[in-house]
Amino acid sequence: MAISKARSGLAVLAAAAAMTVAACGGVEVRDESGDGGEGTTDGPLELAVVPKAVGHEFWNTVRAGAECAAERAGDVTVEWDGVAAETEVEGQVNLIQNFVTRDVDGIVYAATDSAALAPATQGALDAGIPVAMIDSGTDPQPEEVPLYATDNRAGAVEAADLLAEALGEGDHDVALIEFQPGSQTNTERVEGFTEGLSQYENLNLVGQQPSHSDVNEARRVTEDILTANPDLAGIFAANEPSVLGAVQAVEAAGRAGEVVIIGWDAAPDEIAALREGQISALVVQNPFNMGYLGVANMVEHLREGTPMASADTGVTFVTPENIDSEEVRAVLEPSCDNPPVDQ
Amino acid sequence: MSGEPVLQARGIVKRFGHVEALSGADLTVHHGEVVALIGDNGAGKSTLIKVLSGVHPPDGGEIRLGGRAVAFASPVDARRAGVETVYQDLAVADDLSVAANLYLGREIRRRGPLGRIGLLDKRAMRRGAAEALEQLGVRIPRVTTPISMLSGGQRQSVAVARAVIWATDVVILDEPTAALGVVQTRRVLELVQRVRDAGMSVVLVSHNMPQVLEVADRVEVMRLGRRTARFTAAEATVDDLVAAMTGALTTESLD
Amino acid sequence: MTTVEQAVGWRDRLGEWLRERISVAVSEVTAAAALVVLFVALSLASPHFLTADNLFNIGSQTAVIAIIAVAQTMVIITKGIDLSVGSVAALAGVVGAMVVRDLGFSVWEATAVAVGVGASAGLVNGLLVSLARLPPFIATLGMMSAARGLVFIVTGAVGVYSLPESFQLLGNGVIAGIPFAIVVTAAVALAAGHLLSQSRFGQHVYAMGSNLEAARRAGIPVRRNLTAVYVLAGVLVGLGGMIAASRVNSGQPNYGIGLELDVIAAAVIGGASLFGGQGRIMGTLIGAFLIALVRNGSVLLGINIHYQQLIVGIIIWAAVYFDQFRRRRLESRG
Repeated sequence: MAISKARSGLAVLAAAAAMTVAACGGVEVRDESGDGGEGTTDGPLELAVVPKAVGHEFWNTVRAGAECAAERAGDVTVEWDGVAAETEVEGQVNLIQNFVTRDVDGIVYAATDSAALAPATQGALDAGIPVAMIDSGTDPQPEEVPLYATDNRAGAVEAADLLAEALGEGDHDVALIEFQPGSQTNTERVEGFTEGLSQYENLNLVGQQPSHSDVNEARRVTEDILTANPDLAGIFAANEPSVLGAVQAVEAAGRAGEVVIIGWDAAPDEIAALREGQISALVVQNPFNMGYLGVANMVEHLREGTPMASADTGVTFVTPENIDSEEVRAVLEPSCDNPPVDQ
Repeated sequence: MSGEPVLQARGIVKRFGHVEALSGADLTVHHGEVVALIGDNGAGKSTLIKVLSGVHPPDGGEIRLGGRAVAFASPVDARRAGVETVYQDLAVADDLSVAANLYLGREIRRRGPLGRIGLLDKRAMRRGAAEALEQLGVRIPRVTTPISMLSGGQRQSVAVARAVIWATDVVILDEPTAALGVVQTRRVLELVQRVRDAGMSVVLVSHNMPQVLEVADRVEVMRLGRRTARFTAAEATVDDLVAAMTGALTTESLD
Repeated sequence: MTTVEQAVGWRDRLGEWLRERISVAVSEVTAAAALVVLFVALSLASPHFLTADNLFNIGSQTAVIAIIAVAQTMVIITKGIDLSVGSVAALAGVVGAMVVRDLGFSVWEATAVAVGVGASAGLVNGLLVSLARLPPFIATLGMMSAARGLVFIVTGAVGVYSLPESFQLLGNGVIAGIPFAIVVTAAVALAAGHLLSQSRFGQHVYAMGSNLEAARRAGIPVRRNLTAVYVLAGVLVGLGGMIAASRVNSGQPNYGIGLELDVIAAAVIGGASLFGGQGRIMGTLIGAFLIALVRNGSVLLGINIHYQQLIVGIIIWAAVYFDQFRRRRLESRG
């Protein structure tokens, strides 16, 4: 983008201005004169941590992980801010730019759109602000920007396996409730699931509708799919609102327990539905670990100059059988006392 | 004309900032007459009418209605006192029916508890509207027709009819034929005469001199914010009126 | 001069009367025709469409949009617009859910609270429009953002879960075999339709939207009425938000994003004019169900979501274009 060139020029100016201010006011300033802007910073750090959207259990857990890492590192402030809906791509671009303008020490964020946010990431790098992506990266993703995320594709392939296992022998109609067509995460889960499904000739995908991450919408499309396919035997719902809406719809149709639901994420009502047998299994990511790794590695990078390297944050398959195990509980009820991270 | 005037304005002063739009304007309207109010642009006709209809409070002077001094704080006050005005912009609601417009703000409610909670007696309003229009000789297809489907003359007639129906003393018409064609103008003028014949008084603001002389009983001329001449229509000519409007002729003592 | 149009034969007069009736309800007639065509087409295309379960589903699914579209219609008639309906519905829903979860309110008390939340937001909207004289677009744009902010503040951006079974009554309950949400929607539509078409207040609402100055000069208390319209709309939005929350047994902070566009579309398809003075509840209901049928039918027939949106967009264009075309033609002959 043409902007990035202009931006780097601006960054130099901004840095110069900041130095001047620093000289007068004693404000600590990152040294950007070194080659490639690499350098280390002492003292307090201010990190922007931006979810795809505020308002979901998932992102609150990411936040808890981020704040846990910040607390453990010491002297790190997490600036948590996000747009209201994952569809507000433009709003997130602006938000990232605002954090660049504010000259935070580092930005840790999840891209609402892989292509649209790529320039924003580049803009931050050009301004000398390191970036780490969590959950969803950008395309292209610069080499120095790591991604701490779930391998969505692998998780979704596994979800198809779980569904096949739960349904057993014989021909079965199944449906897929996706969430945000066009988003990277959605695409990976949809592709992973359909790829996994292709292994099973007895499973027939009869319906695929998006919920737009709205529970009401998820309920509506599931109801309509159930109407159109009275023999529907299984559903894979690919994120929290989709799962909750699908559970509601199946229950309202009086088919709770008959229709196998494989879900994703682990909101309290999803866990409750799992315990009550309305959901057969949940693919649970480790959002705490995303926030944790993002912030922890960013801090290490800023303070010690360690390059950041991408990592899979892992998924856990939660079933009524293993839900009370120690390992699953650490993922489901993450806390900074016993964080579900490799330490 | 004899007896106490129905409406009398004396020495009305109205200022807008430093501009004195009316500097002691007078107007006299007797019972059952059509008074034409004429004057060049900016002479103060519109301002005087707005004062008389309660839109602008005057800064000086007095308004007497049937001999009693009155003060109108709003157009609603003026209408309650029996002075109805039809402005150039008509002020009809296009999307409402003819009947609804005639009764706008004065709707008939149903009897009993339904009426008390605000339900309308639409049938009574339709009947009332049809009767009133018939009496006035206003031709419109039906009282349920939305105003937006009427022609310009019909709309004007409805606006005038609404004023006439509710006025008890005086109807003020501001340029009622300005935007109308020949036939439509004729209808509105006939309506004005019928109103006068019914015993009401009409103040007619107009630019059209022949029309004024044809319809009005008397003519009052304004110039520079005050009355400068009065004529009996039957005895005046267009030339007289023009002379008065341009200041070449005055019949009033201007002290 | 005669008072009756003597030269006109009865045939012409009947024709004229018909023309006038149709022109008043032109968009409703058009939308209703489209609804019937779509209904028949779907009945033929899908064996699952014309079943009690599916029709009740459509009714329940459309209840919230229909109720809030009724609210939007009232505002649009005054030449206003309410962009805040989605945010306010979300606020009412989460507050309604929270008082049940945290304060142990009954579902009825919670509904009253949700309606109160909606009414309060409506009052602020109304005062901003009538007293502060902000354009409705701006006043409600502010509320759209402010209410969404409040939603996140009161919930801490977390959905309100763990609600008792009874919370589902409004959204999932059944009365005499009919989903409760449908009964509520019908009652709301009937009451609002009557208020607009039969009451003095309704008459004044149309007059204000048609010509505010005329209404003012006619002695109608325009400020008070305008405020009342927004409060009334808020009441319905609050109710709708509560039903939405009840349907998914949770208070969703992200509920209703983009809802304002759905309900404006429903109102406009049904004949409401953004220029004010026009719009009827029946038309809006038809508009809401037309959109609902497109969505339902798309899923039943397995049509991709992207086509649904495309179709709804085309319906909006077609409805408004056809409406204007017919109106112009009728009026030019009037």
